[in-house]
Amino acid sequence: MSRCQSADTCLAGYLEKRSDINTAFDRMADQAVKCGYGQMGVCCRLCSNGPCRVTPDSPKGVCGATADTMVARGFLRAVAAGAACYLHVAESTASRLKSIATGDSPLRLRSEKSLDELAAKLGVSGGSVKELAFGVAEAVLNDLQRPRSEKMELVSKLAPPGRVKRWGELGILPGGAKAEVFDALVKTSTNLNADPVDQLLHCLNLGVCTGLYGLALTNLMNDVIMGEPEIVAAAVGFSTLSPDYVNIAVTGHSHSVFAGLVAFLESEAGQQIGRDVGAKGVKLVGLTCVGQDMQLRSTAAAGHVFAGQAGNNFTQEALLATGAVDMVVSEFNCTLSGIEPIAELTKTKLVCLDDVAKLTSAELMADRKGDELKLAERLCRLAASQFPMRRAHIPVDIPTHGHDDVVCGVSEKSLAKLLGGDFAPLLELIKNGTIKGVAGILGCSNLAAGGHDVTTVALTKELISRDILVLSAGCTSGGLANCGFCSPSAKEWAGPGLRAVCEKLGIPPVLNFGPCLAIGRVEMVAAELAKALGVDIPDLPVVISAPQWLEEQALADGCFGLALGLTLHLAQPPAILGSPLVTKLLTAGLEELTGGKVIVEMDPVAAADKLQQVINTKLAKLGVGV
Amino acid sequence: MRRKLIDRSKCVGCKNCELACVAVHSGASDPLLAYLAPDPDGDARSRNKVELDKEGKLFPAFCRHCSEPACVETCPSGALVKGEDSLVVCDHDLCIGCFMCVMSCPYGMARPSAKNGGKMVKCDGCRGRASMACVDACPQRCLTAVDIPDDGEGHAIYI
Repeated sequence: MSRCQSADTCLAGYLEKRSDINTAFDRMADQAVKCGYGQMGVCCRLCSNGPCRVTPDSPKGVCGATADTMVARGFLRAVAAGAACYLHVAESTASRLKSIATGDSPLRLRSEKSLDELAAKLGVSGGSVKELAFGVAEAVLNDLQRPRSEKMELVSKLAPPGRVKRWGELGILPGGAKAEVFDALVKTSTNLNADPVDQLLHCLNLGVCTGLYGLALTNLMNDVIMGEPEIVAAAVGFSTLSPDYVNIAVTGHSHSVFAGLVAFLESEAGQQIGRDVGAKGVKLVGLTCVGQDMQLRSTAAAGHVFAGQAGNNFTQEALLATGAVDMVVSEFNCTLSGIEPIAELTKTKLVCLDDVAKLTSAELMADRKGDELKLAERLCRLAASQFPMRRAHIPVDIPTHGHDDVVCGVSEKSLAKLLGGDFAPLLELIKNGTIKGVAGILGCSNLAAGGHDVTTVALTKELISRDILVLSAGCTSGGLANCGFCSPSAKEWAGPGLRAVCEKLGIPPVLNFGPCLAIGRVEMVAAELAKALGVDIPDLPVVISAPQWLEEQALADGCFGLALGLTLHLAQPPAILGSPLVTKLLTAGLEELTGGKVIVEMDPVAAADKLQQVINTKLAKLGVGV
Repeated sequence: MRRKLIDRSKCVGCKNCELACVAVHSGASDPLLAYLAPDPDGDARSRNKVELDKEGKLFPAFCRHCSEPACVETCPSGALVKGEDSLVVCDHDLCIGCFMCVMSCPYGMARPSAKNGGKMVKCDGCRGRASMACVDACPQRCLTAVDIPDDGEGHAIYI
């Protein structure tokens, strides 16, 4: 069977040429046959009597569990794992902020303005910058580490009041976030909770934990530590790599874990290490979400030492095959283990800073608060030590790939600033029909829905042609940027109304919010719009789609969107179709509870139709003619 | 005659048939042990395979034990013989690993061993066994055993 395709034709061409490497694009064909039970979520492996699979002849597991129970348990387990991943990032970011505040860490805070705003939002007071930072970090850590019996205190400070009220009525206001994850695992273990409705409500609870703490607070704390996003044009793609530099590619999600490395590379001493081995200096190359975060804040941190964002999750094997990457440093997912044999071939050093991201052949150089700059120097020297040998013996083959005019640095704050201070102008454009609605195209990239970024690109193109403004965060934005959708010239694909707005503001029809963590920012934009209109989030002409969702984290993100009351489109269903009850609840019944619902639609045009229909219904309710 | 009825519309791609085939030919008693069993000849591989057709639909591919088997016709060593029970079975002692069967089978069901000089690995219809391993393992009843006379269409019947 042939290699999996990509919407990024240049990347596809490069993979075609590089038949010497085996990548996920090749392995996708080997894994083409899927187990139907797994896909439907009706294979239960929770005990030694199993695996039990639900068939028409055997409708219950040995224990008596129905398909509904099996599916709900499996879904809650996945959401819990996804929530745990984001909460890990939030906790490590808060711990970093705390260690900077106490002076244990030598790092500095890059935005005191962001700290003031965040402290005010959370109701934290203090005299000095360090007191404020300490207070914010403590408030976050205290909430994350509370027992489940104590409700988290920051929820009501972060979410719109209408939502907090609804969540209270539904009983999904979370206790300590880590304890909520813990008890989700307890609930879904062998012969424990068998109630699918209770399990789905727990999913929404974990969605709130994920969205407010894992996403929103991580962003806001990273704004303090790494600086605020500002809108700027930047370069993306493989062409951002230059073999003249020592190239350190970064993968992961936790921007502030790289705070030490960024600070050290910004210094003369850091760059001199590169020059000492015959390079022009040392550069960071963005891969996956942490690269997107670096690009988002490139005016505040790493600017001149950040080469650019090379691509999203499934580009990393190809990027290593270029031979121009000297070292990969990862602190979190999405780091494909498929890079290991390629790294061996190209003598690329693999390092991880956190054992959660430990690849078999990677060296664990643990990031410890306080030692950030010492670790940064070790990392820099290690990468530089590879340079002479690698440039002498490893062929470099970098394709011409990417764009150098990608509009980056969009956040809830920088977008409001661009619009003149608040979101009123955007609402006006919606009211007068120039823009027909707003869609968040969010989350991952996968190889399943038509190929790498194929459905993401097709759906986005369809939406912008209908004058629907697209906000993107996650690997979707990495893919869309590499395919030209985040460059001003993408206005050509937009409908007449949206195109005129793009021309007036000098923006593309797809706004690049950066990493998947910034899904929290897109949802903050939704909250701002709701506030400005004086309505609740479910009433907004805003929809979200994770067209090519990949992983458990995406399911946790999705649960936040559903808790917020947004309509969420997925091209492929999660493993729920084996349960009529869970499927019905997620695709219909939920609307009465939170206002949110899931739409599953593989065809991008049909998906755009359905999303536009949702938007139109909401516009009509708001009294806006469509 | 024991024949295999295959209703491909029922296949969910669980690959239990593949696993059961490996198990029964590895000499191990169950699929888990089959994974762990030593395989010096490299022929403990599945004789069947769940594939996707051009439309992306599941297709459980099995040896048909054809009435006029191309593999038998092209076999120069006499290793492949269609027996009185209609099953086409390979005698490994005679097989010379020439790949003629691999090249001539129109269904791609003649496979070379990974080791053992590339000797042929193919379905033996579970000759000598009370039942067929793949049929026993199919949870969907996509595969069923039927007892109907040889009508010249081979051993496997796709419906």
